[in-house]
Amino acid sequence: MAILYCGARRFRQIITAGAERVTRNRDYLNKINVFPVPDGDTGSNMAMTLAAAVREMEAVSETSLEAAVKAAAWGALMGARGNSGIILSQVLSGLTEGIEGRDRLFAEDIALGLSRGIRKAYKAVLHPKEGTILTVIRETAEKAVEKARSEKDFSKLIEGMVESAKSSVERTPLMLPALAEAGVVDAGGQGFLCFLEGMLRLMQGEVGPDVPVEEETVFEGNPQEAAEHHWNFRYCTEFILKGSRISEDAIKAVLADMGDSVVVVGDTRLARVHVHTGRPEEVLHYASTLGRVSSIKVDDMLVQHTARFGSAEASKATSVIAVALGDGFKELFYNGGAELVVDGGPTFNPSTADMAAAIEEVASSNVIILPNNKNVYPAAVQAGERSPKRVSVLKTATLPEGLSAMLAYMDDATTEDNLSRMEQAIGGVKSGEITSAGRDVILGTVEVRSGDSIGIFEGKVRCSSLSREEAVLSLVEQMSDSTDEMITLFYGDSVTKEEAELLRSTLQSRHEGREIELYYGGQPYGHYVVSLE
Amino acid sequence: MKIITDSTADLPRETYEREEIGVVPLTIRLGDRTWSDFFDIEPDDYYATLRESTASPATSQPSPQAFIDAYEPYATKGEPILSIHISSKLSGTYQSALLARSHFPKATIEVIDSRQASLGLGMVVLLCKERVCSGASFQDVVTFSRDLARKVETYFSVDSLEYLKRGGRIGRAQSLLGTLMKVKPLLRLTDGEIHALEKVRTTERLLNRFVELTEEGSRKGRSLRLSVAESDNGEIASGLLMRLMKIPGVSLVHRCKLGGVITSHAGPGALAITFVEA
Repeated sequence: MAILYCGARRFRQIITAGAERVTRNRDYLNKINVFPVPDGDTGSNMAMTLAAAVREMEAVSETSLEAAVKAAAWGALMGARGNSGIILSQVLSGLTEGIEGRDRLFAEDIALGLSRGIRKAYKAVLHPKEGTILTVIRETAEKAVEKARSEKDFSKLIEGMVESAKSSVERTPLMLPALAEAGVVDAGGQGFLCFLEGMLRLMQGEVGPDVPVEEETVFEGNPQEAAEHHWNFRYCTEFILKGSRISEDAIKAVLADMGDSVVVVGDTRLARVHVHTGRPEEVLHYASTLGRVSSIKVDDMLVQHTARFGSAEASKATSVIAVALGDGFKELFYNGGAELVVDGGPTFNPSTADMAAAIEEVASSNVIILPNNKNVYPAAVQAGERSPKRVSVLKTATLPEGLSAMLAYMDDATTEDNLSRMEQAIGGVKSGEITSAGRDVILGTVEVRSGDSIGIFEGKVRCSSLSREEAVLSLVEQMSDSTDEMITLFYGDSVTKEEAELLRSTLQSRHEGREIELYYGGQPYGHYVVSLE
Repeated sequence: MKIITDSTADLPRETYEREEIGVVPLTIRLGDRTWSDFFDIEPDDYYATLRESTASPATSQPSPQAFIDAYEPYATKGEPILSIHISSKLSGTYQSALLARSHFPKATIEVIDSRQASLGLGMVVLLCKERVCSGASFQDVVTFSRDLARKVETYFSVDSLEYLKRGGRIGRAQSLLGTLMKVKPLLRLTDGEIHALEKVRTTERLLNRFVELTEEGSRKGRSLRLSVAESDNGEIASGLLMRLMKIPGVSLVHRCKLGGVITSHAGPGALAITFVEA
């Protein structure tokens, strides 16, 4: 059924639906916000602006279309946040012209209102940039005007606008290099598209789940890395100015000297002003000479940006070399900050030459080596003595000891500092291993049959069992004392993840109150390595 | 003179009342709900709410207007105001306070960036109040507060870095993200922002480090003023406090719970100590 006009009730409904879809996509829009300033708040700003429009519509008691449209425009203007919010408020105000006494809006009214609105928005922004929300709305308005000539069905018109807006949004990275570098589309433009989509969904009566934009959009770049920005104008400053003879152009001209992203909208008695400046106090002082200043909001965008994307990493003073066996262990060492992990080989016994090559290969002249085995220690020390670099070899005798030391390493600390932290971390971790016995033997009180799983701790066989899980449980019993807080299991190549998970829950049920952690070690010989600390 | 701070000072209600310290709230948003920090929700209730929620909390600074309202009664009476706030690197609160100050060109208002947050900020506020009570002049207290802002050290740990990351306050502890193995990060709030100090594996080791750091601070017989805070971690904090109080030269200023805004960024299960030589 064709919808031929929009009355007060439908107007309220579609604006509300549009606002809701923007709100639902707020976080995504924040994330892709890189232009003009990567402060990650476009989604929040648009959502808050539209929420203000909706609130104002709900607050007016009058039920006429005129009252609803004016309330939406007024609410958006008073609640406008950020550049994109002000632009949205102008678009809504475009609809208010000639609304007096009308009780219906037809397709061409929407098209013309949008055109008027976007013209106002261009005027409001000091340096309009293409490839932003402005372009998306302008092209959508042009399409709407063209379509409204023949199309009287309201929902068909909005459908056409959504299509046009979508293709506009997709082209924004072609117009704005900052977007292309970041691998995103313009956040404001995307927000406007969401707004239209929300309206369309309502009119088409869609009841299915409202799929958030992010799931539909593929993006390849990393907005955080590409977003380089100069922070001379780091304070996003907004306020409302009430006076008697406010001149938008005069304000814009003065503010242009104090900052950028200048937006001024309103009339001679009331203006909403937005500027990015390094000196918010001066801006506010200037404004106070023109009239009464209210609703002041000043955000430090550098704080917002740093908060969002973190600050630069410090350079590396120390290179750590670890010797390990198994992909899982290697990965854990790399993840902990090792620059190079030397494969221990089948006998966990790399040659002095292997160690010397590793020492030469790493970047820093300060090297810390984690041998992680008693056999490797002498080779590492020898290689270190021959090298012109400053090499320290820590006495890590097991992989868990090595990992403890690795975790204590901090990228931005000095070499001395790291050495003492890492040395300290070695103590306090007990480590055992479950492996298969190669032959029948009696070791002390433990009777071992070939093929049994045996548990080794502190160089001694502590238990033997047909089941490797039983061996783990028994070994842990023997290793543990009341001060241990945490049991860590590293499962080897021969164990499946499911088996390991099962063992972990059995272990958890026997050691309530202790943290049990499970990692893939990938060691080729032992079934499990287990540590307690 | 009047001392005014913001809700991130995390001082107990009775302390604000007894010491006649003004407090301007930040705002917490969690999903569809918003609270005025400190005034609308008790720490324990917030811990439970946050643990149950799937939404990420967000916080916002007080508006300049909120500070104007807080300053007005004293500014108009001509009473000098010392307004001490959370680190400007963590929040725009300090900025809002500065803007509010420009509304009272004739009043005496000093706005101080404490470079601290939570118990660290609370410590600066309480030690300043102590000075006021001992009869120091406004100028002396202002100088003292600036000095404290440079000297106070806060060490803390969080249960998970996720909150700091999501709230965007992780600062220089960024490097700890992505650690595959579970670690308890030991962090330091200094020069206004968060730095990673260490990663430890067990609570016992973490507590030992807190004790060692305090011992280092009190070396050479220096006397230390110390505070302890936690979010939903009271038992561990009590145990730590007992150990810290045995260190010679250490005296306790206060113990508190992390409030809503700070917990939004640190998460439940955090533990913190602050100390300064005094």
